Amino acid sequence: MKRLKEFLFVATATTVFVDTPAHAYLDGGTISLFLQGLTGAVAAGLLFGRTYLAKLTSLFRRPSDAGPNDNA
Amino acid sequence: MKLDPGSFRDPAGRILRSGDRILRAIYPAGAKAYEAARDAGVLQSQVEKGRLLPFQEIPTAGFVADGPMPRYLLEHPRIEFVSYPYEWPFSALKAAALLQLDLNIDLLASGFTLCDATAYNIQFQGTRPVFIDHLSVVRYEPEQGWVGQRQFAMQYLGPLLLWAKRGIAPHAWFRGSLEGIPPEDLARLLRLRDRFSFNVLAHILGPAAVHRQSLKRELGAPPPKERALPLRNFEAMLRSLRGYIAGLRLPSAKTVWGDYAGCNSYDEARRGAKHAFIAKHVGATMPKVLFDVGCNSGDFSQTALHHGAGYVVGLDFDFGALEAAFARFDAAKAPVLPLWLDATNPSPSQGWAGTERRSLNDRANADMVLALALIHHLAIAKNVPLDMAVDWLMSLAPTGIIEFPDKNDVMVKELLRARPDIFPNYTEDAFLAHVRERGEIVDQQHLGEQGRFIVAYRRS
Repeated sequence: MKRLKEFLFVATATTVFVDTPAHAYLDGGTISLFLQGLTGAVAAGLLFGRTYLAKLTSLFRRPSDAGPNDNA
Repeated sequence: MKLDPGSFRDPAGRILRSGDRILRAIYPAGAKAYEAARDAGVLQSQVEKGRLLPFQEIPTAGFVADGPMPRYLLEHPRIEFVSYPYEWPFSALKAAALLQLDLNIDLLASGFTLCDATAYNIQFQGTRPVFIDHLSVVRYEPEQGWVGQRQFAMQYLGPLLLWAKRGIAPHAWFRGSLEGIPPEDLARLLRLRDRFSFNVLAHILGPAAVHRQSLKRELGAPPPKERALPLRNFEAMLRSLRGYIAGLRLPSAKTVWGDYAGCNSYDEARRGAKHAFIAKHVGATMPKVLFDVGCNSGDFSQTALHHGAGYVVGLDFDFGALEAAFARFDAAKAPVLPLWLDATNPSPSQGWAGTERRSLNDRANADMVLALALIHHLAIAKNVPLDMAVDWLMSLAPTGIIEFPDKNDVMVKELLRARPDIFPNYTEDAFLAHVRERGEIVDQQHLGEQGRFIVAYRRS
C-alpha cells in the first residue's frame, strides 16, 4: 500500500509510461532540476514520515538492533 | 612521470605514474576547490573513515612531467590491481554504489558534495571499495541539484536493477558502453512491477521521460521550469536511494559452477594433494600479486594467501562463484579481489583513443598465476589451440601453476560427450612441450589416477 501511494504520487507528475522513440543530437546528460526538486521533496516527506512512524511504533515494541534501512 | 591515459576529463587535475609512484597533479582550475576541501578537513576525515584513498602533499619545486605545471602535487599509495565496473561482481558494484552515496551524504553534512558520480572513481582493495578522485569533492551549491544523478543512474542503479530485477548481468552492455546504461534504454526493459518503486521512478523512469521531452524541445526554446533542491531534500533523496540499493538482491539462480567447489569430480585426497602443491610453490615464490584464473569460490586463492601471496585477483566467468568468493573474502577481510573474466574475451583496451581503459593483459602485474581446472575449457569447449592457451596463461605472470586434465578426466569426458573429438593434439605430452617452449618446468605431479596433472613453471 505504501509503495502504491509513493508510485501514484510521482507518476502523476511524470509521464513515465510514454516509451516513444527519440532521435536527436542533443546532450542527454542534462539533469532536470524540476524533477529533482519534486522527487527530493517526496523523499524528504517519506523520510520524515518514516522517522516519526518508527518513533511511534518503537513505543509499543522492543527495540530492534537492525540498522536503518528506508527501502522504498 | 607519465600522464595516466584514463584521467583527462577533469581540467582540475590529472594522475601521473612513474614505476610504483602515483601522483595527482592539481592544476589552477582545481586549486581553490582542493584548498577548500583540504582546509575544512573533509578529505582527511574521509581518509580516516577508510572511504577515500590516502594522500600526501609533496613539493612541486623541480617537478618535471608531461602536462602543465601543477599548483599542488599529491602522492597516493598504489592500488594493487586497477579494475573497472564492467568486471565487478554484483556485490562489488553494490558496495561501490553504497560508498558513493555514503561519501556524498557525509560530505553534505560538512557543506561539500561530489561533483560527479562515475564508477571509475572507485577502486577496490580486496573487497573494500575506496574512492580515488579527491578532486570530485567540491563545495555544495544549493542551486546545482544533484549533478551526478544521471551518471549514478547509468553506472550504478541501472546495471544493478538490470541484474536484480531482470536477472541479466550488465557486463556485456557496460563494457560496450563505458558510460553505463542510459535510463531511457533501461526503462524499456523494466516490467510494470519493477516500476512500482519511488527510486526507480525518481532516478530511472522520471529522468527517462524528461530526456525524451528534452529531445523534442527545439533549440532556442525557453529552458524547462526549475525547482530548488534544498539540502534537506537532497540528503533525503540520497538516503532513500541508499536504502533501496542496500535492499537489492540477486535473483536466486543456480549457476553452472557456483557449487562446483562442493560437488566436483575430486575426492578429498586429490584436493589435498593439489592444495599442498600450491602451498609449496606459492611459499617458494612469495608473489606480491597472484592471479587465480578460474578461481571459482576461492578455495585455492585462500591456500595461496595462507602460504605467502600478498594480494590475489580471482578471475572467473561464473557470477555465482564470484558472489561466493566475494562474500567469503569480504567476511575474512582478506586481500582478494574477485573479478569477472571471460578468458576467451578478456577486457580490451578501449575508451578514448583506445587507451582510456586498459586491457587485462596491460594491467597484468602478477608475479604468479594459478590456472586450475581451466585449460580444458579453453582448448576443448572453446577450440583454442593448446599452444595458444598455454601461451596466454604463461603471458600473465613469470611463474605459475597450470593444471592439465587429460581425456580420461570426467570433466573432459563430459565436454567431449556431445561433440566429435577433433583434438588429437590435446595430450599431456603436447602440453608439457608447449610449456617447455616458453619456460622451465619447475615441478610436476599427477593428482590421482584419473587424468589430472599439474605443473609449476618459470617463464624464460
